[in-house]
Amino acid sequence: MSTLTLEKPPVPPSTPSAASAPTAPRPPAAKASSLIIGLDLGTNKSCILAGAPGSTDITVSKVVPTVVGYVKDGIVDGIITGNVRILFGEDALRQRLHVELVAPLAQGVIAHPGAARDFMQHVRLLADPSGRAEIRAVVGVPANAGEQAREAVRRAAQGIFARILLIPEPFLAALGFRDDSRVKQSGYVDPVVNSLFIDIGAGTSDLCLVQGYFPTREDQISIPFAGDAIDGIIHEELNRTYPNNGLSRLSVREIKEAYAYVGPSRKPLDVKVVIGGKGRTLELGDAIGNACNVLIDKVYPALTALIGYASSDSVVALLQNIIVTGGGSQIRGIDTVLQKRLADDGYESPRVRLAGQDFQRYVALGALKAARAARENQWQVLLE
Amino acid sequence: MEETELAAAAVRARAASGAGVESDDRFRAIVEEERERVAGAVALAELLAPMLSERLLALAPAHAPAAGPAPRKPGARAPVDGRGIADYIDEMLAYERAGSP
Repeated sequence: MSTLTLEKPPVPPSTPSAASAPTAPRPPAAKASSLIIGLDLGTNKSCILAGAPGSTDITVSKVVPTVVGYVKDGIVDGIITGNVRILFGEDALRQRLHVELVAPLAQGVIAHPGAARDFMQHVRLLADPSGRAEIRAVVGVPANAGEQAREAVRRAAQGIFARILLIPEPFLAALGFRDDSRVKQSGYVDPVVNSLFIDIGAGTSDLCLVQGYFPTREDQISIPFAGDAIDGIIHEELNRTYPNNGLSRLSVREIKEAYAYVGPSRKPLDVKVVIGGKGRTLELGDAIGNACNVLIDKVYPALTALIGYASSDSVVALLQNIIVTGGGSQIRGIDTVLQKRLADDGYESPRVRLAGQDFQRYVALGALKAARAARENQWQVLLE
Repeated sequence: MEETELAAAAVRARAASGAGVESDDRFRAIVEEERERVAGAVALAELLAPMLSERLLALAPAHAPAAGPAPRKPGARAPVDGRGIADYIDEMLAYERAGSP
């Protein structure tokens, strides 16, 4: 089951803090009546960060699979803990035999409004188990998300959150990645002032030029090719090479997450799997490498297009601040391959970096920062 | 050219001046001299071209990509520093109100 955590955000050591230890008591009920949430609503995984307004503390930090499990009819009492009818995240995946799994999002936008609304209820419960707090949420949306996609998020949150603000995910990633304690230090290149973010998720790969002003449509490119599409290619190749392998898409995703790489072939790459209850070793070097290299072929032209959009005064510094985040940043070699291609094409000393192990949290962290900084008149009220 | 126009011109010159071994030898010497001059010029060009190319690349803007540059956005904005997050949100909301997605 989900548990609440209390942690410190990346703030300067000198910043005063109300809660300084994981075991710090919860604020009095009166002060807990309002809560703000930074939500990265991802196709496969969502990150929820929450805290009190006017504080820098993060009282809830959760990464959960974005999946809802509706318990099938006829399941015997006691099979599902508490005989609940709906499960979420890891709980739903663990009970996959007994539930109908529904992914609320596809390619970064809401595909199943009912499941999305149920998932939002779950998010609310994770952030505020008491169910009494008035909640304001900043929710990340894909770059170039249309009004229809945005409206779907608002509808899913209606009656669950009191106020909402939708902000493009790559910009939130830049806000989250920014080390606030170093912004005023000389030599620190603020990602919000001059950077290029490549956020590779499950449904879309979003690229965004962040140069100290709010990115317009021209500064963002969203490609409907990301982790899920790579899974599809690997799965197809597996079925061709090893017919009747019986591996589910979920198993293929797990294999990809463990072995994904780009660049020259790493064949032989032996992967142990269980097929029909028997252990087998499959050679997947080319299947995985070829599928992941398709991502490079899709992302690279978008990357060079955005570099071309940057002003000539800023482009050299920009080339030093290209950051890969999202699940795709875990693909081995993705930074070096992109950097080499840029260098080979004559770009001046490009530097492509990975966001690091915290890649799952940057969008939500940026959303929480935005929620804390938003002015009263910037929030959109969601009427019940 | 050597086989057509030059050959025809040689025939006409020979006919006009009266053919002789001496004039034929002189004509061949001129042709040979010109052939060597052209060969020398070609060799020099082949030698100089890569050096010239390297020099020109070194003089070109350092950040220019070698191939496939995207068209520069008209009126591209320069990076802006020192603004608050709420300012960005204002900008976003204004952008949305203007009717862009």
